[in-house]
Amino acid sequence: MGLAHFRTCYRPAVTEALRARASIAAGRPVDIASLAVFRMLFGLVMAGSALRVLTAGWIGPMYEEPRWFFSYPGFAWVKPWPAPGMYVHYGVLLVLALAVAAGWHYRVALGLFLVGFLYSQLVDVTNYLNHHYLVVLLAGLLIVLPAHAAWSLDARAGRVDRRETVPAWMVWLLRFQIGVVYVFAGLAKLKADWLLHGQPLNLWLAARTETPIVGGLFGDPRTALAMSWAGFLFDTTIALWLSWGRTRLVAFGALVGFHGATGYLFNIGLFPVIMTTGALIFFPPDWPRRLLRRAAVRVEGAAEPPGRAARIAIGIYVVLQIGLPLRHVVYPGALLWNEDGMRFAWHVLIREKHGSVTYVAKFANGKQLEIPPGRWLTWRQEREMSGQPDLILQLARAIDRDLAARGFRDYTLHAITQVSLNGRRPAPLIDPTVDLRTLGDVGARDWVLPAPTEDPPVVEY
Amino acid sequence: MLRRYLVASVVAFAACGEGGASDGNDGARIDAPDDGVNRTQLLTHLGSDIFLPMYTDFEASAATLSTKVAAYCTALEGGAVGATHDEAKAAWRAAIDDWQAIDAVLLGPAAMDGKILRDRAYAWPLVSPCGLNRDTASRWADPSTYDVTTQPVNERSLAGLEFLLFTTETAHGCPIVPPGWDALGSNLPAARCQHAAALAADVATTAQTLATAWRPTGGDFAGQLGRAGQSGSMFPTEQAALNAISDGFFFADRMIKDMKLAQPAGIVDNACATVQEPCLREVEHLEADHGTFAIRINLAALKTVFMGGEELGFDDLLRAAGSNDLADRMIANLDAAIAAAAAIDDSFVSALSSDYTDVVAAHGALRAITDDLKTQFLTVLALEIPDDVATDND
Repeated sequence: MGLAHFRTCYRPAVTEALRARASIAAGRPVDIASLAVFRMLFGLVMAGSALRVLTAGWIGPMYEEPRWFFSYPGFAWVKPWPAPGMYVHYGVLLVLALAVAAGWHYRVALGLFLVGFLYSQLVDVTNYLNHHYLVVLLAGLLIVLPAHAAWSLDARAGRVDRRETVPAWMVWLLRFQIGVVYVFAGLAKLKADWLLHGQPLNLWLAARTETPIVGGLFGDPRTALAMSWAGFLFDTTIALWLSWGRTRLVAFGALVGFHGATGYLFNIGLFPVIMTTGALIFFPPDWPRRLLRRAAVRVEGAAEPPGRAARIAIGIYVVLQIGLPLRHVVYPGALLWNEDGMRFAWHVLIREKHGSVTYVAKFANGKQLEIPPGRWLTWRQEREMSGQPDLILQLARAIDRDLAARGFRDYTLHAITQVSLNGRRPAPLIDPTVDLRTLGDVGARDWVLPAPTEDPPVVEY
Repeated sequence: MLRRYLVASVVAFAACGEGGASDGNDGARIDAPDDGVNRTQLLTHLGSDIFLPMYTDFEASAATLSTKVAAYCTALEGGAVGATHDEAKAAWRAAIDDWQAIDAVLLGPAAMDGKILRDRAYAWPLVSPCGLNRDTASRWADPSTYDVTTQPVNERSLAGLEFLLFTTETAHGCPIVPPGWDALGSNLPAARCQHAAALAADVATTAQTLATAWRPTGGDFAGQLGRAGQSGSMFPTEQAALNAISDGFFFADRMIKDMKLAQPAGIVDNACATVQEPCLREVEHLEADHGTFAIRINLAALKTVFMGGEELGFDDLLRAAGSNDLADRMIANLDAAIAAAAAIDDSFVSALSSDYTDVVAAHGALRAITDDLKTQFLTVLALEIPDDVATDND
């Protein structure tokens, strides 16, 4: 029997059988409990997040103090509310998040929360955080899932048909999303700085030698290297261990320890909380009932495989979620240096980067005018911009428009940059001879200079 | 005192000249070994031996200033000014010199709460000649209605005192004539002196408040710095305390490099819209023409804090972290900037017209410092930029 014969006669049948089995498995009813708890925890964590922004004094520095904002392509029209509008905005987000947790007018509340949260992020690119992106994705997924069909005020009030089960694919989708974050956060660590030099962990730990009990170890670069490898292995494999029943409990314990430690040592806000609560979705769907010792529900019933439209939407979503983090592979240059493909890709805490940027307008008459970014940006914005070429270019365009509006003519605009990556000696990031006014949004970014080739330093106390 | 910082910088610079940039200060300094720095010792030393004396010096010079201005006013009333005006001006120079050392690496109570205490001591660039003239007239007409503590900072501080003691301008400079201005007539010097006396007393009070906040017998901020990471300190960790100090270093960027040098010289945008041409409106200490001294003292103080004088400093932290080259480079750049500032004419106003290249050279030397401060210095020591509200990071 030849291969051609197999292809002709058997492969369609095999494929069809697999597809049918997958469809049945995906549609198999499972307890709704874990999905409902996921909704509650998501809402509570988001409420905590909004409360944090309101009480930590972040509204001013993020929305009121900047004189100018970096925008995402096509969203330059998104501006912050006039003061004290952003306080009201986050106050509303807090209420909406609590409504999501309680399952009160769930879809409306979550929809408004999603729009409001997106708005708060679109105001300024320098506000970008990986876990903010994750919040947007999870809210987007939850809004299409009937997470309010149990243990919610909507179900109690009869605004939604009460359900005891949901098809398994709904839980799988959330597991996929959480798993994607871990796996790509792990793959992002597949770099020489991380795995061979223990950077930037070595720099960060060396500054925390006063940590109780274990601080003495942090001055030893071998600790950083060991933790780098541990982090890499943890991130790349934890979804696997969480998916396997025999290792799940131990894996979750390790996860709690990992996120507890990173949350204690590093200033990463709610990321550990989001990931820890999110990872609960890997437990069997009835885990909340078991935990509460409530009677198990009958998970019998007709399978509800996703319909054609849902399958297509899920397929697109999955491809996007795998493709976006990998897009940097096809971009030339070193990712940590040129940041090409850095956002929306789960490159979480993998670099320590600081830069210094000065713009220079050179006039035809031989004179030149320097424009320090501090004239446009807060310190926080300047820090974020200084290592990101696309933001440096975006501010250059704003400066160009400003100079032109003030009557300056016949000049070229340049960026004088110095950037230190993972403790290396500063090196120029942008070609200072390039007139930034001539650059477009597409095409090779040859105006970004190559990354330094030297190894990062190793700090030892 | 000014002399202390100038002597320290001259000694360091001379040593640099003898030994080259890479090992310039080793001979003169008693540094920690390269294999470790006790951060508690470093913070204690900086708090008690470097910062606290700055505030006590300022407290003393501000008190002297208040006394000298009062004496000048008394002499004015008696019609025999003699040397009292010059003595008051000299006292102002001494006080501002002490303040410029503090301002160069602002830390502690003066850097908190929106820098309210800093602005009460010295609010530049916030100064309003019109407001000061208006206050002068209203206070002269009815002293009981004037309360300096309710005035905005641009009508107080050493900046306001500079105007009142040094200006020779008799025009009020306001869009409309301030009430009582025309009635001042020949009493204008006396009225300005009386007003200056009120401001000087206010500055002396602020200086006393700040020094008390640093003293072990008062707020013990110096002690809090040394006890960082322990109970009773406002700094939860030693790293947070180091970060608070390093925040102060960035004064060199936006204030010295940009505002004190680049704006008056037209290197960056300025109020006169000049490009590579002077703009006197942007000059610090225009009335006293003391701007060059301010820059020199700023840089000397920056170096003193960075190197911990002759003991533990941030350079030792860098060396302990294995970044000898960065420590050497930053010290060499500081020395170069100090030398560049020393080359500027004592009169900054004159320097802008006749000594322009030296001003530009000093600006370039400052950039070499701030480039390292903003980049490798932060990454190697895992420090944050100033005014960072510690938002999340991932």
